[in-house]
Amino acid sequence: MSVQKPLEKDEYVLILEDIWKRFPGVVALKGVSLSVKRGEILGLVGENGAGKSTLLKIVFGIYKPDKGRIIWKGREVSVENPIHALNMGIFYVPQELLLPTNMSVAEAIAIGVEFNRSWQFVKYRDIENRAREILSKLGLGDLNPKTKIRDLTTAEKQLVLIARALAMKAELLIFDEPTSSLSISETHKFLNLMLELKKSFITQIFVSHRIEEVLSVADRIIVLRDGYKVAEFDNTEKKVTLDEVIKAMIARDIKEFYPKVKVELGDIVLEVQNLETENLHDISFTVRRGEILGIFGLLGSGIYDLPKAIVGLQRRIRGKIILEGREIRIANPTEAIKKYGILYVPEDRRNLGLFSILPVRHNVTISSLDLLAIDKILNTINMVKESSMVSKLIKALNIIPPDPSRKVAYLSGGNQQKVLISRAFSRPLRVVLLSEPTVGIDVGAKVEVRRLMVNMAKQGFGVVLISSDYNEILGMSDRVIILSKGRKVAEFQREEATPDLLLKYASR
Amino acid sequence: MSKSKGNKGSSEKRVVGITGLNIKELLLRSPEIGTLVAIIGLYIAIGLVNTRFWEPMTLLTIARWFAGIGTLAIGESMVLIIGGIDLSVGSLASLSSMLFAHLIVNIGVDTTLAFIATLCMGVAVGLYHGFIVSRFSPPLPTVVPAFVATLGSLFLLRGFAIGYWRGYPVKIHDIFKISFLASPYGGIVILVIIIVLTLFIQRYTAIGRYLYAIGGNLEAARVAGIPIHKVRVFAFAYSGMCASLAGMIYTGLVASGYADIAAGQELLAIASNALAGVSLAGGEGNAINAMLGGFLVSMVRTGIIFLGISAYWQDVAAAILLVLAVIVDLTRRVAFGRA
Repeated sequence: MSVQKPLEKDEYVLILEDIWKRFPGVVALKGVSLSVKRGEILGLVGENGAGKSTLLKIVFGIYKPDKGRIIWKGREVSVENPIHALNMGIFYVPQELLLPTNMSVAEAIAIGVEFNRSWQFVKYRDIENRAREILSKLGLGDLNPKTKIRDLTTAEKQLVLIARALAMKAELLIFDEPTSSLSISETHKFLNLMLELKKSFITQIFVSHRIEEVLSVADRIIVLRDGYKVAEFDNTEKKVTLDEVIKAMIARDIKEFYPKVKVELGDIVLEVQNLETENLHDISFTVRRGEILGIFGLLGSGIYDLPKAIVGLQRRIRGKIILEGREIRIANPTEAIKKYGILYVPEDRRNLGLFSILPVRHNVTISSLDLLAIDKILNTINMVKESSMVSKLIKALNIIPPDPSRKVAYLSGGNQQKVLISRAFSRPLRVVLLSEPTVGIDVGAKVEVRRLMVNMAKQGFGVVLISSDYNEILGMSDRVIILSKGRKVAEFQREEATPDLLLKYASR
Repeated sequence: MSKSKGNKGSSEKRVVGITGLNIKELLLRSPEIGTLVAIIGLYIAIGLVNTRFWEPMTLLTIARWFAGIGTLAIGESMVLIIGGIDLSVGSLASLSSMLFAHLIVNIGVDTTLAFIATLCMGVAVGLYHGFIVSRFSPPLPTVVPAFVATLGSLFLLRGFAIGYWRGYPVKIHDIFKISFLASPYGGIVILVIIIVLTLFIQRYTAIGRYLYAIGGNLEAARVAGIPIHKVRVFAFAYSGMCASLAGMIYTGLVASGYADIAAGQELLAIASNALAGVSLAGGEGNAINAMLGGFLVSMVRTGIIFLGISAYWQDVAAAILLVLAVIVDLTRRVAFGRA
């Protein structure tokens, strides 16, 4: 390892000048320049498709810019690949934490540090001691370095990655949506850790859709929109407001984040009685036609297991499901959708929701092909009917670009989510179970998705909104149920519910 | 800065950042065109070495073998699209060839009836594969039980074909009994029917959509309410049906049942698909891709003879094609971030 050049506190660690990046069909970055000082936390915000990820990937050497200069510690460089970036001291913590699950914590931290010196025996005691030392710096002193990665929580995995970054003597840490799968208290700890790292002059770039978090820690905030840098805020005093940032991000006024409309409630459409599964205990609730029932809980509360148990993706041990007054037994999602009109829209749109290599058209109609069939034997699809349905939904849901044959992988996150949700409008339904419908999508798309939620209620569906975002739950629900450790701990009407109450019960 | 040394000029490919449309991207995006170019190129090239390759009779010879390989490849495409693999098709075709001839010659069954009975046997074997796959995945991804079940069949069916008839072929002396299959165009007619039928299923039916969905994302397919087990059983049964058709096409071609007439052709079927754009990872390609790949493979097999290479080297050519096919498929997947 080379001797580090002594750096002045205010020296710019990283300067990007006029970065351009073109992909087939889209220009992702149009001459973006930015600079980060040593020890600074730079917040990078923007809607989906604004170019944030591309910019990060360029810094980390995953992409090469078509044009532009990268200046790292005063010297112009060309980041050849991620290994090169790591060797330079740039460390990227991706949204999805890629760690080998069968390794121990100590090994995972040592990868790329000790293990990088080829042809050397692994000295387990050394790497374990080293891991312990770094982990205690991160406030994880009680974590046994021999623990396997697969037994860690998401928050702990993240810390292991950060520990590896410290072990590698990283000078720039890039966090891509680090808090998106953390609980509230974990998020808190994480943000504090960022401030700790700042004290040891580690530079950080922080990308998040949760702008409040960015406002609370970032020293400077850069807003990207459509591949341009549209605004830069000095936030050393932490005085920048949410409204200012959002205005710059979306360039249009959003009147309301929660476009809730009062809908006349009908009869009870779905009733769950004493539902018992591996993770859920004695859960009972009802949903009415036209109602949005919010189900709130923190990580580990079992909120994501609930819809899975209802549609038959998880085994039910006990309990009744009553649809329109009649007890039903749902064996699998096929029955749930086709026989009973209950659609589950999963929280993990990439792995459980969408077929990213297939075109938009296939993704939209996949759950309603039985209704589009001409014959019963081969189930030949009425292509004319399908086309008109798809283009109608693309228009109604404002899916951009409005091209039914485009592969879903090439859409932005918000538009992908709209494709997923469009399935709820592709056939008559009774109940829609929406799990985290707005997670990981930009502010504009969030509002659009929430509007769609209201449309579902207007159509007379019973809507179950499962979310760990209490603002969304409060803003959209007619009634709220709170789960904690797999049990229902409280139920509130819209008027009674407050953030304090929700959090108080959820963290019980 | 010295830390970065040794990383300059890294060999890591960066196909991701393609700027604008170029030939490479075109070939990657539409493998049909690439395969077509390869077919035409090889046709010209081999003919330049040996002009007899350009005679119409040669084309007919290629086409008659292509009828069998193409049918196998198209059946295989159904299984590959769902993210599975069917290693049994060569052995199943061989067994079908034997059974078909046996029923006609030794049992004295009417040809049509023998045809239907053999087809049923093929479908039954496919159903069995589908059942095993449905039973054992999850927790495993489709390809694992598919590999194990059909690898078992590869040896089982072949062993049966050799064991039951003690290695002897069954010669059909009365060629008129199989006049349709023995005619120059019999196999091609069957192939055309299979292409049309398969393409129709893949493009215009619900089950076709389900095949791609399952291959594209199995978990999402489950959540979207697709009857996964049924669809997978269908795919394997269809592959079994195509394999037994191919076996009977071969029987017609040589007027005999041979226990190893299609031995090893599962690899040709897989290579045909992978070469022409039916991804081994599932969810991509269709009957047209499989057919083009099948033609390319058939042409190479016949072509090497015209290049003065002994027919005994055909397996080597097949192996090279298979490895090439996998490389082509991987390149495509890396280029589109699906590796």
